[in-house]
This record gives sequence, structure tokens and C-alpha cells, in this order.
Amino acid sequence: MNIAAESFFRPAPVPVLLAASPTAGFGRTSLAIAERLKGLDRPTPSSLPRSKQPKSTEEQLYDALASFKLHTAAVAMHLDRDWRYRLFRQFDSLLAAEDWDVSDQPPSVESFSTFLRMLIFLKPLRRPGLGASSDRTVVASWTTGNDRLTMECLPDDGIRWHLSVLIDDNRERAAGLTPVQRLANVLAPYQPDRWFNADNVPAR
Amino acid sequence: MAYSKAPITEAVIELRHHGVVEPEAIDKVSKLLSKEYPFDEPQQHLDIRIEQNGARLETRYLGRRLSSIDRTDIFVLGVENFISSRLAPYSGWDEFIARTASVWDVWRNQVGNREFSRIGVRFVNRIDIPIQKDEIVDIEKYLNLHPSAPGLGGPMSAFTLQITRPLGVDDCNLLLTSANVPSPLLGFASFLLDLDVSRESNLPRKPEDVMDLLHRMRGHKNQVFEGCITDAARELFK
Repeated sequence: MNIAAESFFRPAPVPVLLAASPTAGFGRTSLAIAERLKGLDRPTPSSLPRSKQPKSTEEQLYDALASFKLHTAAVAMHLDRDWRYRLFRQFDSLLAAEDWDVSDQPPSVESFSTFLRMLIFLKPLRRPGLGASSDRTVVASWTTGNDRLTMECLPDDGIRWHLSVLIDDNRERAAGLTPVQRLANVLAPYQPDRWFNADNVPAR
Repeated sequence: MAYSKAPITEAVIELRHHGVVEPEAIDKVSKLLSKEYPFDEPQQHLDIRIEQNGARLETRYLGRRLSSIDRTDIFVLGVENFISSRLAPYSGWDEFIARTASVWDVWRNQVGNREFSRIGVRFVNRIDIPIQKDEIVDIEKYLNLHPSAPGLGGPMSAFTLQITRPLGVDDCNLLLTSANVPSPLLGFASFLLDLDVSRESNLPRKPEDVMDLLHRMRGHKNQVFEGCITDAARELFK
């Protein structure tokens, strides 16, 4: 490939965060470079917390909610404020300690991340109903009449989905495991607007 | 310029002071603020020393970290500093500085008017650029500040660029970091533009002078930000 311009960028398959470590060196200059790279994360401190080990169910729920909110903050500029507020209320309610089965663990932050990326990618006008599975995944569902779509958000942008719709008086059911990027294409034959665009529900 | 989709992922003000604040005073401030900032987490530094006759664990109290109910407004009441932080969605400087001033008032009433060693205003921006699969992004289209690698034969897959320099006004320094970061969104490439304006000398002590300096530092930051981005980037924030 011959590209003349010099400021072209293509994201790496495995993203690199800030500075990558070079091959080790032991001379003074190499050590000075290593020190400088370490120094890249020492400006006016950010307030983001470091992770900690949860101890009890209540603490796990507390940590899960906190990490969900911090994750959401990272993409909040792409979400309507009211929509985001109502989504938090749903998660507050879902992860309320008094209603939580102590034998279950809260959804993982990786599953929540897929859920959030799916929402921003599909841009549904209706917020889904929310649930959690024993596999630590967030489950999102939309129901319109007797038509139902359920998505289980797996880590790494995978969605396990199933749906039930009435088409030409026949009840059809379908299920699949699809990356978020392909979801719109895969659901298109079932006209997902029936779930995402209902008029009687507040828009985002 | 105010943007409806401001790319700010975090705005931070840090007032670093000389001397150490007593933990009792910090605990008192956190109690006074508990209604507005109900999440209260102690900040500790853990040090594990491995010695010939066994390991020794030392903990050092660093302060408390308070957060609002939605976790977007954060205050660190530190033994050596006071930090105010706002995560996205950023609702504007007026709201941010007013909240900072009101909590700093409570802080000052308890710990006194300290002499500062550093004042910093930092804005971490993330520029999210929509891309198709395998699309190559020309960074120059969005940022006036970018790495240039002539004749290397293909697009770069990662970069980090950092500049430290005096700003030439108000005795302020600029620490600017630009880098690619993994995008939290699908179908986007994301670039960081992290601007940290700070001052370490001739620091004011009177609260109104500190506020005045913070306003000016934010103005300097805005000037740098606008200078670093192109109209194509501005379009993304509308």
C-alpha cells in the first residue's frame, strides 16, 4: 500500500491505550524514555477510581452500579440526558439490594458495555425492559402487543437474541448469536421498528 | 464556543496545597456534604514491603472521594489537595465552577485558607469520529496537532503525542496529550485531546483571586482547544 499523506490512522485490531511500551533498553536514554512514558499518566489527577475486590452481595451490587454509571459517563455525550437518567433509574431498581437474590452475582461490566454499545449503535427510541441472567449478563427486552424481542448482552459485543412475531397471521420465532454490528441487518426482516419506534412511549 | 455534544469526558480542577490536612477535618467535611454527595469512599495508599523476615503492609490515608448519586460529580478531599471533577455529560463551565466554589467554601471553612503549591485546570476531550469498517482516518482533517511520519508506507495504528510548554500568560504551563484511545462506541475511531493548564508559582491565596485565576485558566484552555481542532471536528460536536 502506498499512501502519500502522513497523518493517516487505522485503528489496530487490538487497541493500544496511550503509550505502548517499547522493547526494553538499559542505556540512560532508554531509561529516560521509559520514565517519560510512565509520566504520561501523571497530569492533574483524574478522579476515576481504581478497582477493588467486592466482598458482600451488597458491595458487589454497589460496585456494579457505580461501574455502570462510570461506563455510561464515558459515552454520555451520545445519549439524551433524560434517556440516560431514566436508564439509571431502571438499573437502580434492577440492582436494588433488598430485591436481589444473594446467590446471584450482578451483571458484569463487560456485558453492560455491550448493552450500552448496542443501544448507541441501534438508537432505539424506546428504552428496553431490563433483566439480569445468572450468567452475569444484562438482558434487554422489547414487547409490542404479543411481539417480543429479547437480547442477552454477552461480553465482547455479542448478542444472543430471540424473538417472536406475528407475520401474515403466522407466529414466527427466531433466535441467533450475532455481533452488535450485524444486528440491524439480521433483525431487518422482522421489522424491528415495531419494538424500537412505538409512538406511545417517550422518545430518547 | 459551547457545543451541544461537547467531547469533554472529564473536567478537573485541582488545588494542591502546602502542608497536610488532618483526617478529622476531612471526615467532618465529608459529613457536611453527605446529602448532596452520598457516595463516600476512603482513599488509601497501600505499600507492601518484602523484607528478609517477612512482608509488611503499610497504609497511608490520602483522603475521601465523594460522588453524586449519578456518579458524575466527584470531589476528592485529600490530605494534600482538593479536587473537583465532572464526568460527561459536561453541563458547562458556569455550573462546574459554581459547584466547585460551593464545596470549596465548605472545605475552606473547616481546613482554613491554605497556601497553594499548584493550581490545575484539566479537560480531557475524546473526539469520536464515525468510521466504516477498515476505514482509514486522516487525523489532520480533525486535529491541527498530529503526528507526521513521512515515507513509512502505511497508516499508523497508534500514536501518543505530548507537549509541555509555558503558555506565556498568567505564569501558566500547558501539558497537552493527544493519542488514539480505544473507542467505547462501535463504528468510531476515537482520539484524545487532554489539556492540562497549571500554575505553580505566584499563586493567589484569596478565594476571589483563586476563582479569578481559574476562570482565566479555563479561557486559556479554550483557546488551546479551539486552536487544536478543525471545523470538521467542530461539526461532530454540534
